[in-house]
Amino acid sequence: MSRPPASLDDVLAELARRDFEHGEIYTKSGRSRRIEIRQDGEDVSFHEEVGWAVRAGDERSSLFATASGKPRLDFPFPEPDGLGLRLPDPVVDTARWKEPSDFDAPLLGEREGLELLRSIHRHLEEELRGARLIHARLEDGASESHLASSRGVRAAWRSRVAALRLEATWRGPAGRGGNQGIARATFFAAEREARALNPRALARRLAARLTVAATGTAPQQEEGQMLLAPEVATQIVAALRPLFCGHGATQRAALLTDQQGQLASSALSVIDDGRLAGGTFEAPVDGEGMATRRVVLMEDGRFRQALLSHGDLAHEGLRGDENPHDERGTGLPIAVGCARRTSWRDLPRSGPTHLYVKPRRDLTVATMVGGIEHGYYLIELGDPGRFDFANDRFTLPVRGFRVEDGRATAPIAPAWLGGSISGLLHGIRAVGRDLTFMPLDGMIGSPTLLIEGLTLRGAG
Amino acid sequence: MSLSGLNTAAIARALAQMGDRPDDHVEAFFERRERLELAPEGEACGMRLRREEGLAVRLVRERRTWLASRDEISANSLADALRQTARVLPVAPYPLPKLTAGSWSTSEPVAPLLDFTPALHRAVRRRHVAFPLLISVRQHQRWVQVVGPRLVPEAEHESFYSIVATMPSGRYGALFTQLDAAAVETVAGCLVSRFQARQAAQISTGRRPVVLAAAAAAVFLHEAVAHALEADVLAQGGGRPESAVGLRLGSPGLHVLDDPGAAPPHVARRTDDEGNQVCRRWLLRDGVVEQPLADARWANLCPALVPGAGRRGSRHEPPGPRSSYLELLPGELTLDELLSKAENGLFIEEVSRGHLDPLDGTFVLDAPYARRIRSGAIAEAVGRLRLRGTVAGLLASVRGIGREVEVAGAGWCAKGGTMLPVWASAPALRLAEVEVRG
Repeated sequence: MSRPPASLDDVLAELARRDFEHGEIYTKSGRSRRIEIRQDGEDVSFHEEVGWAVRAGDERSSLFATASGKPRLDFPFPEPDGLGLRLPDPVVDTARWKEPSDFDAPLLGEREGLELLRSIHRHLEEELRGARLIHARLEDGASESHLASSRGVRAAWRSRVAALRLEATWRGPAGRGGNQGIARATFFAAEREARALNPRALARRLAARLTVAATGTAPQQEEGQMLLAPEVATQIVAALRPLFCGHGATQRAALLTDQQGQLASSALSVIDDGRLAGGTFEAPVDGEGMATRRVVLMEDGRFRQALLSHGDLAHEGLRGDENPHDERGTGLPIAVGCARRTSWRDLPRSGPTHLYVKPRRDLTVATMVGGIEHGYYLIELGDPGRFDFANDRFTLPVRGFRVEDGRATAPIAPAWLGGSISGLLHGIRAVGRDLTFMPLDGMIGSPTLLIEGLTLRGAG
Repeated sequence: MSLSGLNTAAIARALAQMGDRPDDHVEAFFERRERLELAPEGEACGMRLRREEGLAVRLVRERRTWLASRDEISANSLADALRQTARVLPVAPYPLPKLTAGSWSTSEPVAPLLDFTPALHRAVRRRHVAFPLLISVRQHQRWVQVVGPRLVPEAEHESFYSIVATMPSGRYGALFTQLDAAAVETVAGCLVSRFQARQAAQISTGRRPVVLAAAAAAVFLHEAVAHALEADVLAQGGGRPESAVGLRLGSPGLHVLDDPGAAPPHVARRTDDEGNQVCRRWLLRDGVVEQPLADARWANLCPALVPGAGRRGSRHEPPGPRSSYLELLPGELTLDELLSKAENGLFIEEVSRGHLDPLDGTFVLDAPYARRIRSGAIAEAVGRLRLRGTVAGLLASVRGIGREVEVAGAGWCAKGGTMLPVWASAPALRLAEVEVRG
């Protein structure tokens, strides 16, 4: 007969009794409603997930144990192995943070969720005759997490996320050339609350993508100004994550920095902010209970610092509490609250929360398009593409429009955007104001970017 | 045995109240999972244990499905899930069944995990090469009990190992039912081949004959036959899945089956994740589609389809039609005979991934390297490449089937983001001129 569930303090006491110098217990409980519409029917599901995770060890070795349900002291913890474990010490958080009120909003109901998806379907048919929403999946969830460690860290936080995935097809207008067969477009979106999703706007975006995919023609190998819509630019920012995040980021960034100390053009500033107001993953602490904050990773094209968790610093032989704030200008790497847990099943790993390109408030997309004499406005990505940092090359499958004298003249698809990663970074000429976040590796945001020096060629 | 303590009769009575229409499909799904992992050297928390259990209740009515899942096996969690799934309140509810899943069985000895990594390093060194290598070894166990209102199949248990090796040129993954010397040699051989081919020249794009070794042939058939003949994938094209029955999809002599009951020990199944009996399902007989993969929902919608291929990623996911153990029946040719008819072609030993576009039937298969075929023999390596074509075109290009069958090509299938282990046995295959891109 198993023993009853244990409290966080009970677990810490048990870990101490087993002579673990460092011990941490994390619990998470959540609930979500998933609504799905497919060609062959509709699914509605409701999930309640409860789990816990323990990290424990000393300087010599450590273990990780995790299970569903509530923590129990009779769990058969495995023998410690591998490297030792050093958990972070608590840091006084002086910044104020107030929990957003929409955390308390109820989950989307079954009828409400189905109506949202059906509404997207209806609007899509209105926008583009013959287009079909072949799959729509909306998951609306909320969770509560608690964490306690033997170092004195105590934290409790909540989160609220609604994620939407849409997939649509369109056979395209007869006799207008372009791609043969059925055009397909997918779209992902995430908001803190599902009620913030706008069916008509989503349908319009899908329709635009389908139109380009169905009627676009492949370009020859061409150069010119490339205007990247946020959907494309965010994927590039996500792919550049190795330059900004985690162990070794500083070294990787140094390889692409020029003699003037510029990693990118002066138009580019990159920020990560775990407390971004209104952000989907807005939270006061990270997955290790450490305070989150706004961190400038790149400013005016100059590398400032990498996004490093306390675990990353330990990996580099540094202690996070030796230099907790960069304001001192020590030049040493600093630790910030950026350790994420994908679920209670996973170890915390450093990563961005809301990683974004700082927008320029006064530059509209219309102005940017209007300024292009000969170039391309790329609005959609086929897949994440390839980024080869070792050889300084990248290729991205894209779709969009040819632009002549500030006007879109013809759809382009399929095409590959390519060049060197350093050329991409240094070639950014302007940054728009339309900052948009996409759910990628964390929430990744970018406004429209104008880039020169890249090549566009037909798929092949 | 885990999950043996469930009062399945009481659960069945409770479920019987939910299905108030004749064609309703109702079931309760209980699962336990354990994953023991030995992390790569140089990482903290070297030994990692994950245990989880829970249940799901599902009601399928015509084209609609309701599912409720919990991370706990208890009377209250089952009652909650029943209440959330049911469309009407029962007139006279039965008392809550007492649910005791039974204690977890003691974990298997960790010795196979601990021994594997040093043995693999030794096997690589024996091949006189050295390169940075990080290895993660995992043991996976899963217990499943499905309960329906009328039938209660026996509980199922699966146990296998997964390997992930990370080297400078990329990652390699494989599944094994036993971590024995053969598994060590298989992994070492693949890693060394990849390492030795790391700087091999790229081939130019063009059409050429290809011989797929057993492991590569298994992945090819998983993507091109199994996925293409899943009822939900067939429906994405807009037609009815049963309309595929009788279509010629491959060359004559191509027999492909899915038979979960014939899978290697520890992963063989008697029933699927919906509690339906599995069957020896001829996907292709002589190149002609005979019986697509279907779960209970699709079999209900399309009476020509046979259920028994419903698989779930977890209790939180609804089941869907998927293959478990794919078999390609052998032909009569030796490997030498296959190679002799593929002059100036490529011999592909392993495939890193494949992808099928169900809308237009486009199919790609990526290989980390291949070897040229010259004068009927395997020659120098070439770098990363991609096979591309349509499913029908590639399957129609099968010109020869080997006679030596190997259990090979096991791996994780990630269709729709749901990770499932898949197993296969196949001989080598020769394809006529197919499009290969370097």
